[in-house]
Amino acid sequence: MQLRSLVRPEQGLISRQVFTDHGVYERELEKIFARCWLYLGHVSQIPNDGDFFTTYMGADSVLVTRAGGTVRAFLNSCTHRGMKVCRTDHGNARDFTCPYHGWNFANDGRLNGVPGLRQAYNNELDVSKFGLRSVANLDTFGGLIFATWDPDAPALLDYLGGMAPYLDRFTDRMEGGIVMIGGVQKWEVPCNWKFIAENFLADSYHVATTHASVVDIGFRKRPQLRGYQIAPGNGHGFCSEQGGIGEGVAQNAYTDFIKRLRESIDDNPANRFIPLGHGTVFPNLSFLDTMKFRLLRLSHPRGPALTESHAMCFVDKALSPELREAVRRNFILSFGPSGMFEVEDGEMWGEVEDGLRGYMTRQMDFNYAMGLNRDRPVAEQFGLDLPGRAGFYWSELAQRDYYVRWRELMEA
Amino acid sequence: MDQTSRHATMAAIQAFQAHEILLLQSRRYVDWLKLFTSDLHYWMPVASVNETGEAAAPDELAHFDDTLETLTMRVRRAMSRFAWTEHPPSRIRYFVMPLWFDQQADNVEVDSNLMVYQTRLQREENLFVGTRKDVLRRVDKDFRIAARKVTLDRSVVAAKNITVFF
Repeated sequence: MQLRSLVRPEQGLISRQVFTDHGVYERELEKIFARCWLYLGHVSQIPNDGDFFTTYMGADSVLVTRAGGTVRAFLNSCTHRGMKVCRTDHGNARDFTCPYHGWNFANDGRLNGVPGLRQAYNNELDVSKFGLRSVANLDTFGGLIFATWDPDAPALLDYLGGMAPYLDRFTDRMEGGIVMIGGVQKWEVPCNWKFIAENFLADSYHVATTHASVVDIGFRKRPQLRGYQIAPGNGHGFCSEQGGIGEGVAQNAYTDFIKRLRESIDDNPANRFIPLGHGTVFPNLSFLDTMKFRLLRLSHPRGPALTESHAMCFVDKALSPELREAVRRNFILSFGPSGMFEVEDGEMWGEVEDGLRGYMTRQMDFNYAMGLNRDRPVAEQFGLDLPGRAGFYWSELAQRDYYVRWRELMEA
Repeated sequence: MDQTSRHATMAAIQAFQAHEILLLQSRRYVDWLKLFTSDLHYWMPVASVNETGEAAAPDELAHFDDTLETLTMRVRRAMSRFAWTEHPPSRIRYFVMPLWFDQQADNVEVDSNLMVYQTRLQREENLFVGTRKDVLRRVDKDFRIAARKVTLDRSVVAAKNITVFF
């Protein structure tokens, strides 16, 4: 498949086939998900020795553990016959015994025990070579755990690149950073994973139409056109209404808190972007940071037309219990599978993908021409010493960047 | 409570549940809201796969964690002419099976099995199966729902959105 002729973000055109084709999907698993830094979870999910949780890296089940103070991540696959050695979402364990043939792995990945090692393997199996398959590299950013399968991947901070000074305002704007509220919302959306990643990345345009019902009932103010979109490079990006997304008609305590916070903290030039708005860290970690709540989102690929969405709610560790509770409730009411906003996103994504079953539909392009060649450096637009290019709030600038990055990795 | 009055209470619970189902199936949500007390707690904690089988705790994440005020907001949104999720409307079928009740001073706590089938557009189908614990309060010889906890059995919700009420 000639990706260069199908993916032409420079002209604002991308073939619909990259959202349906099985060959493209398989190539994404190899070229994107087995190479990029991927978000696994937050350190506050595993505060104690022996804590663990399971998640995905691409379509691979992954086990994340804390052992002896070190966070590690492994393929959740027995090195003998591939059975999942861990079958719960979270818990605490010093070791994991494969239920198939009984191979036992320590939570640091070492192969501890093999039934019949002496009698059946004649002590000739080198157990040191058959520990759980570890990620090539693991690092954290503001408590966010990332890992990559690529031993030649750049350092995490280089991978985040221009996104880092902005993402830092998501994770570290108060003393102590952020903590995750317990529990993960998980649900299946019958669409390509990129629909969700690119929507969070830069689709400010859909809000007024898709989410008209929440405006209709006064839960959200009518979207204003004043705002910005920022493409800091490497396929990452975010955007926001001026002053922050999601102020309601009825004020709430957290909204006032954010306004005071923005004025009171140190002179970091990126403070003016608090709350960040919505965005995506390439390829599939999205966030939403509004005047009402803060979340992280993972779009795990489960085939070209199925995504497993995971949504997690975050608060500043130093936040008062009352505000923490307000954020939790605001989030549940607004986003996730039952959120008053997000129910409509699911409706759009599922129906778009359903329409792509047709042959003729797939011969067409999606249009990404909004704001083409209308961006300028952040430094120029805002007079701040910050990286990236800035566009209008309604723009497809960051999405074009995303698919340039996507094509570059897919062709490598 | 003797056996006869237990039967009578169970019959009253079933009649109340049937009435609620008729309201929900015909999407008469404004009338449905009248079945709740003003101090309502309407809650669906997220389920996860763990050794205890417990769903998320009250201070953790949920799919619904509503007061009567926020549940009313959800209903108003669902009835907005811009709520694409219900234009055209879903066809929804409720199967509620009361299993046990516990009579307290003013309240009856009812444990039920719950199955909600939703079909939308040409062939979309969603099945929500779980348990429901209701606290029913006697008000003017009738029941009102003071608390509802729904726990779905599937930890990864098999639907692109949850637009039905439980």
